[in-house]
Amino acid sequence: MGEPTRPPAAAAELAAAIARLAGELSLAEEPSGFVAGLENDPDTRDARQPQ
Amino acid sequence: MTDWTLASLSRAIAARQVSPVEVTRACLARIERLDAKLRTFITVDAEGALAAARELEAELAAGLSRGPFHGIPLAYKDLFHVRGLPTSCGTRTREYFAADPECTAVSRLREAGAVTLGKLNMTELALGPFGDNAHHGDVQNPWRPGHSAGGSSSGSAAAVAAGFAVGALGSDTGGSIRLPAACCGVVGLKPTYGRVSRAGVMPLSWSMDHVGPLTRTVADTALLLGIIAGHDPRDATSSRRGIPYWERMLEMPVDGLRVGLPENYYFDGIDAEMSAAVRAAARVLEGLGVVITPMRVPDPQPLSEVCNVITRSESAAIHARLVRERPHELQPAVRARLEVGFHISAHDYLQALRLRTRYAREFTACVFAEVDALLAPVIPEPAPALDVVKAGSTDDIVQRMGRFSRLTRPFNGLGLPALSVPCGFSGDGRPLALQIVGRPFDEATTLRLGHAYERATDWVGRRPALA
Repeated sequence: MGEPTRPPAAAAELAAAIARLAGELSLAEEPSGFVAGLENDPDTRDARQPQ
Repeated sequence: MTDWTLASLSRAIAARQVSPVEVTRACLARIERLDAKLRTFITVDAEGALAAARELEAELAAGLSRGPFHGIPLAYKDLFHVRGLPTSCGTRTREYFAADPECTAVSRLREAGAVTLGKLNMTELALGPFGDNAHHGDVQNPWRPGHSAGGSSSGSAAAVAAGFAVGALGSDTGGSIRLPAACCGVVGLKPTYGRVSRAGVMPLSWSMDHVGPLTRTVADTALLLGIIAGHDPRDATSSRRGIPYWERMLEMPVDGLRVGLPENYYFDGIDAEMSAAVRAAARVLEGLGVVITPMRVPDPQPLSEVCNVITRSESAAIHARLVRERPHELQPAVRARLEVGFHISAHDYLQALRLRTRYAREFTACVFAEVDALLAPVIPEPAPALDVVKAGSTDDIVQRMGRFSRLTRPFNGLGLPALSVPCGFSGDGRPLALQIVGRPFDEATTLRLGHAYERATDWVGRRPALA
């Protein structure tokens, strides 16, 4: 079994970072919002050029 | 002809000045002669490549052409599933990824007439920025043996720089296309998240993985992107956006474009020659009429922490079986990075995904309200020596990895298109590189700026002297 029983320090540091940063989140923020945000970027200059 | 660009070789094949078999033989002969030292390939498929080249040659003789990729020899990072060839993902086991069907990007290139030379060396499981590999040999930097080729798409960049393949595909989860491109003096593009299908590519982190080209010129990258980009029903995250004719947009003037030069983070602690070269590149663009705007960008540090949570969680889930069944086969630093993910809670993973959404929205709104693109270094120093990057404890190595990829990782989190372009050489001959970052799905502007810079300088024509 490769999984250690004691969490490495790096995992604790990342958990602390999330605890610190997540206070900024609003209820409207969804995990899947990232792709929608990219797709809905209002400035799209890549419409297909005429042949 | 192994020195030629994709575009020039394509023209020569179309004009029947050289044949697909001739160019394939030339690449295979060069690989045979030089790759024992550089270690760029894991699998060379000489027989398959020549068979494909003969078929393509027969098509040309019959008056049939598949277009600009007809007879062009390419190679793929060894995490792309290619029909008939094993996939090691840089691990000791060559059959690690035996999925079927073939990777969509590879299939599209094959249909377009590309010849597959083989599968390229990489960092084990794509987990590391230096291109060292205990199982398949450390990829050597073609410009300076004994130095890192960058990673994780180490073989992809080094093979293109060495003239073994006209172009290559790599994958980029935290910089793994751009870092080796920068170290090896070639062009590398991480497209927008969703622009290129990842179907048939061994994942490292579903939320951060990107597939993209490595070539000798920006124009070649535009050509390659034009084939592999576009919606794929096999990849739920692939975008349905239209595909521009990027190669035709390269010559559009760049004067009047606004480019931001970050005042914070991206030049902090950067090697003096690297920093000077990127600032000099900004002046070259300014000379072409680009408006260079010094600006503060949102601090990437919180985003980096969020990305770490996401990547570690997902990579641990993906490779849990490997870690459980064959931990002894993994390099210590690779195993250490994977094991962190087993200790991240579902709560923290979900919070990280939510934070990423917020940071991406804020970054785009803040930065691209002011400029069309950002300009920054790719790597904090020229390619470091392999014995230096592998020295010390596992913790030392993991921290070193994080520092080396700190300029590229934020743009995986943001999902933005980011292009690495050569911009000179250090005093001792190691490549320097700049990074051009565009707004979502605006590869066109990043490529135009890169092409304009490339045309205004003469870095792109230089090749490493390989004995």
